[in-house]
Amino acid sequence: MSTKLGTVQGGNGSGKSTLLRVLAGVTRATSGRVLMSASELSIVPERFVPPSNMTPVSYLWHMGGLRGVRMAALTERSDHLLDLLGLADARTVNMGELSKGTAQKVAIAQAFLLPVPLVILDEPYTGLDEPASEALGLLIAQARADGSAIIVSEHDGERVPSADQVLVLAAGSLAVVPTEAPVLADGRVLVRLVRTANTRGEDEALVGEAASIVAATGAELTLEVRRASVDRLLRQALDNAWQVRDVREQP
Amino acid sequence: MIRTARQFVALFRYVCARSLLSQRWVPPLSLYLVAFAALFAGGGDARGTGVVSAVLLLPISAWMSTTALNADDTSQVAVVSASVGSYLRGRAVTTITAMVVCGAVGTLGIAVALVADPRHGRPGGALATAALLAVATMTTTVFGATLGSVCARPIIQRQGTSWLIAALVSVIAITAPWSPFTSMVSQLAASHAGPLWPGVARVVAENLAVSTAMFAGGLFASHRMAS
Repeated sequence: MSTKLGTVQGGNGSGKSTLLRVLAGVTRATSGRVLMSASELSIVPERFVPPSNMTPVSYLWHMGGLRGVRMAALTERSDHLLDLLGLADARTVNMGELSKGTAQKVAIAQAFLLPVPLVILDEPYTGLDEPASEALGLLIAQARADGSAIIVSEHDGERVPSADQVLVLAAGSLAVVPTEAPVLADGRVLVRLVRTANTRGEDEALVGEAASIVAATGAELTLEVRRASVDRLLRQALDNAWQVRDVREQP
Repeated sequence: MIRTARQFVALFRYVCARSLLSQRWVPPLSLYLVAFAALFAGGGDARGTGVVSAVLLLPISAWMSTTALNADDTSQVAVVSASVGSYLRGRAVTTITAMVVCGAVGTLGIAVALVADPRHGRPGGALATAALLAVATMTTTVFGATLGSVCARPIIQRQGTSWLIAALVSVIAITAPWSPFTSMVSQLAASHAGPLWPGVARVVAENLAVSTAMFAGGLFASHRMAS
């Protein structure tokens, strides 16, 4: 990715986690290929299940070792992360006994143990309390400052409003939502869709308070959409097998 | 290169810690201990005891390998794979860890068999006997650990099925007349005369070829099936 912070958005079962696991090299793509090397990255997986019979401290020690971090640097960094994420009291607790949110904090801590070119965060805010969410925002900002690219998946774009690039995933299709150029003066965006053989529903099904039809020629439909509603409209369109031609400013 | 070696050692340490702290390796190691003690109590020379110990290690190493690979949830597998830079590397090193630990236990068994034997492996010399038994142990351990990696998730999801297949293949490998292991056992246990190394070398070569193919196939299949 040429951008520093990207989000992958989509509903339940849209394939966000699968896409991120393919990027991480854990799952093989059934088609296409990953151009980026997966040799140096870290990941916070969705639904992290921590290894039981280990404490957060020993877990971070092992995970740091796997990345080749030296002992002295590792101790200092893991102490910092545990304090920042509010895990100071849980340092020596068996991870099998941690709550979902606390386990998630450990998953986040291991992902930020050392700077890597790419950090993949799969719904990282799930189960986090407010202070931990703020700490995660801080860690993301620090990682970006250190030169890491970050990919965050989430259902909507609310948690990561400052993303450089937004990808919307639905029904196995991916649409890129430009975040700056295509916004019209009144905060509206033009979306061009193409009806395919599998498209379900009438053109009007996409129109609501937030969108209106600008042009409908042949299979192509051009909509004017409020900026805040673009993600939702694209998800709806992709779910109904529309092809997204582009999302742009009115010429 | 140095970083890769350091990562290998760190992953070896992590797999051992996971398997020992969760006590998942306790049942196979206990079973080996009990079976070895029974063999030992039955008497016999170092070569006989050592070769049966090596054969015992085939299912034991399959068990330990499967257990080590199944220990982590898929989310933790993703974390480890990302940390070491590759899913295949993580899986391969986990299998090798089980192999090495099992080999170390087998080496201890050989040492005990040699020390306890009043003739210390003679005729043929203690060193030659130790070398033959070490090769036998290595052969069964490599095959067993590889078998375990093929029987582990995600290739075989259900634990009962995994155990059943590993047990059946182990029994066939140990008892089938055409199996190289059967040939190895009969040569090592029965014959004190004549040159043994050519026969053993053939068994080792056959085993390494089968194990390598199985290991590579298992790695490829597991990566395809990982979700």
